[in-house]
Amino acid sequence: MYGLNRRSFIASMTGLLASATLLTLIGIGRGKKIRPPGVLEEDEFVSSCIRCGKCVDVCPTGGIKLDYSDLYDLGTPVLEGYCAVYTQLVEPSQEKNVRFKRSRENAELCLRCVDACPTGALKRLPLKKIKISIPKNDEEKCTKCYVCVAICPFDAVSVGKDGWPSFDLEKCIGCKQCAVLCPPRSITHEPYGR
Amino acid sequence: MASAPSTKDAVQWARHVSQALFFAFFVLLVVGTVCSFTAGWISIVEPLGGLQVLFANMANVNLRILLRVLSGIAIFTIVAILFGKAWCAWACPVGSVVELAEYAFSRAKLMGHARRKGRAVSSEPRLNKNVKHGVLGGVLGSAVLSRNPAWCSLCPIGTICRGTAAGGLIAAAETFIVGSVVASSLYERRAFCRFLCPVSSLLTFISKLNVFFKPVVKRDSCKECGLCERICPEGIPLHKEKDLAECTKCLLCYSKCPYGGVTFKALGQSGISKKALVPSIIALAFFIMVIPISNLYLAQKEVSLSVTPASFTIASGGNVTLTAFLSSDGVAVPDRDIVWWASEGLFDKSEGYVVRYMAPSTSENKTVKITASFYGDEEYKGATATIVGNVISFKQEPTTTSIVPQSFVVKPGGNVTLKVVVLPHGAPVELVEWRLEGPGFLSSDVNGSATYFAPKEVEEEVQVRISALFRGNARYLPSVGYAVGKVSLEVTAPPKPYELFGRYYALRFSRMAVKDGLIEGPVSVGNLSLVRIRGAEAVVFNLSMPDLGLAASEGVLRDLEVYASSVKGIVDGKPMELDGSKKVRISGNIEISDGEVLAAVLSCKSLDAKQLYLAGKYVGGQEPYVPAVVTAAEVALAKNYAMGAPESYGELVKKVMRLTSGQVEADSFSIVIPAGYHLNRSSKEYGYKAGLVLNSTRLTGENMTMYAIYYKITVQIARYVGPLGFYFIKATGEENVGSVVWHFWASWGIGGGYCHRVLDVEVHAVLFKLDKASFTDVRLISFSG
Repeated sequence: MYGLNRRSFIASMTGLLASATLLTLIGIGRGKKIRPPGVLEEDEFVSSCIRCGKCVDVCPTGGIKLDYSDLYDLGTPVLEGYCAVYTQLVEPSQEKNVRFKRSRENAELCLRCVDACPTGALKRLPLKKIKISIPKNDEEKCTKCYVCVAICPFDAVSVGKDGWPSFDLEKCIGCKQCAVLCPPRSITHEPYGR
Repeated sequence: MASAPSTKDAVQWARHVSQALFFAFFVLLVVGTVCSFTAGWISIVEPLGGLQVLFANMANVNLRILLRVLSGIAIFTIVAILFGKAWCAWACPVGSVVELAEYAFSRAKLMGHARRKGRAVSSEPRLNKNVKHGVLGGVLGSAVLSRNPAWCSLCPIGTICRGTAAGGLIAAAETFIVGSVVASSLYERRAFCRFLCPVSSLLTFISKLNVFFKPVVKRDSCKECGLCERICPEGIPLHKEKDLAECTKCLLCYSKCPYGGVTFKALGQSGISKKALVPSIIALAFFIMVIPISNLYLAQKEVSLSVTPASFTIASGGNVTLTAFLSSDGVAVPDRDIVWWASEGLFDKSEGYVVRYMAPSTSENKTVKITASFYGDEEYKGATATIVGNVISFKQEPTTTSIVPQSFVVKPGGNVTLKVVVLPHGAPVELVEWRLEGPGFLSSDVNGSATYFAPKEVEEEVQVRISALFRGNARYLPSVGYAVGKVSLEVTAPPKPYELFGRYYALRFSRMAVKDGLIEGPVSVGNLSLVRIRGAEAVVFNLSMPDLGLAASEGVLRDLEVYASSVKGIVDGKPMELDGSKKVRISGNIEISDGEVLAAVLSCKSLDAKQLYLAGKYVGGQEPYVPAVVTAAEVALAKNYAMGAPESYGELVKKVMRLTSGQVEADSFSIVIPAGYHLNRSSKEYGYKAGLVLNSTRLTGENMTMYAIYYKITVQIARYVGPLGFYFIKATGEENVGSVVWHFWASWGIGGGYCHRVLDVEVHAVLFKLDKASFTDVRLISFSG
């Protein structure tokens, strides 16, 4: 019925081998990146993401961007900006976060990217399992102003040894709000090691 | 035949409008809509993406992923079964761009097929259309091998839609991918779509189930000219081909056939055979069923959350254990995040099923609202429970704290035992904190006594100051008592109580009205005979005390008591001059104008002053001002407090810090006017001898401005109730400590469990200004020596 003659077979086999080789070579690359919330394992995420960019579209902070640094995950989302986590913390500020922490009364989780994901690459995880990134403090730049301590929505930053801010990675979800609000910009975030 | 051409054109125009609308929707309006679209319970996933995800998750596929993908691709697949590859010609944004480009290319005579116009009708295309099936296999195979739907990264259909979300280089990369697809049309018509596109291949396979809307050649009209094959974007030789799975329903054959030899029939070529219909119906039924089934399976379940006890009543500062119960259909749901919130008070941990709530310390009865929330996850919806609790207060009693003896003299190496008395009886003495200012060593016990050990060697006579701070609790208000001592080289007898009156200080005012006053003299205190002024309330205007450097525009003193060596002024228009030598007694309401009192001690229950102004003494030299040493405990600043960068005070002091605050509250407030002062700015060490001291148990003030050359601040940082540690900030006016210090001032201020509590502040102020100030339990004394 389909007329699969010798010529067609060779042609399709050529297409199969060529595309399979090319795409496999592209696809086996892996790295560590700061992903939007709801990622348990990088590998699992990459294998489920269809690069549709829906999460970019719905993110109220504009923090999610498509990544173009590698070929293997071209067009997958990364969290370049910050994650509001709660809808009240879009565009965070010292006053806003401190006020929010005092009265969490109507706290509402944002996670619109998770709801938008059509393939479940971003999962609706319990809050304590969400790990986006790991904060690092550059002590050369840090002025010990403790704004990070005051604004952290998860109380994950405390005054540690010698007065440097210390991050409780159990509580920290890596939303990057401290980096955004840090006056001397001494806090940076690294991908979560998974 | 007259109406036929217009119908033929109309269907093509309808198709172009559809292409334009889909292009606008996919590319211009909503990012990524071509790959997926979600509205309510409808979720559409582009099937190749969905299949790749399935294949990439082959190793750990579960029902959740399977149903999610299957229901996602269902609608797309149903459409493909009903209408074949209509997607390619009616909706695909890449197809639309390519068709537009090919139109432009053919006008510019660039198209390969245009150049080879004279080519034989039956000539084979330059690539085999089966290549795309191979590509589809490659795409899915590579997804399995690399566990990565890598095709999605490069897919022209996806990138053309994502491109609008990107900018700069990224948009350029996207343009390159789409551009290559368009350029491939120069090689062969629809080269990418026909020979390479895996979506096209997948649709071809699904299309084999398609039995509706197929082109039919009218054998009697067909002249076998072959135009339909040349015009067909898929290159189907319609006049001889039976398999129409590749047909994209573009209707070009119908529109362009010069003989009207092609029609479209809803039910295909020659009616529908049962053989073709059965698999089609089965597939349709399967995909229609998948949608509700997966929606039912994937839907979040309802949960209910309750908190026990549903309400409670506890004492101020007390605590209660709260338990959350999360259930779904009566079955407990364990291991979820329950997040707690309280309108006031704290929790031992902010999340968990069982938490301990600690009520705030309050002096009045309060109602607190406590909320437990579950935000929901993949399986369950979120839920919230709210309970209300009552916090009952004890009425806090005011206390007074005093140290016995209030003053002492010890030899170097000697010691003296001090005892603290906190009234009313029953107030817990163990809440007293002792503090020593000056050399030596103080040991204290919990029973309210302390022993001061003087240093073994002193070069000259040294003053020490010992304070006992009763911290207070839910029942008792805090208070503070002081004792002053002398480590003297000379062995002297214990001093008489008022030997402290070594100096007199002037108190000037333009007018003073004393209510229920009593001026009497001589009053003998120790070996002195003095005049005593008492009054229930005294209102003073333009008050100034040159020795303190203090001035106020208006002051109200309650329960005033002044011991003075001389009182001068105008009473009832007549000059009056009193000293300890004359016998005098004036009672009732007394009004004195242009007065000057040389006082030895002044005390009052409260002092409310307006425009209070305190300035350091100008002495010239390296540190041109002798500042007033302002000390306080439990300082709280509110309303726009700010600490400025180093600046200059007048022309004289170049390095001062300015502190301003709309509102200030402090306990154990005292101002010491030092008799001698030195400050080493590099080592941050200083020294002074106490001269004149103003003590007050509490100060509240408004609109404070302070210029200071030295700060020493002790801050306690606590998390919830447990203290984390003490921090000391020392600064002279040179460092910009503003950013470090500013938020520490809001004592107990910052939420989230961290409390910054300012325990102790010592500020050497060259200027201290308050628009309004209220002091309680004021005592102004001078130290001898």
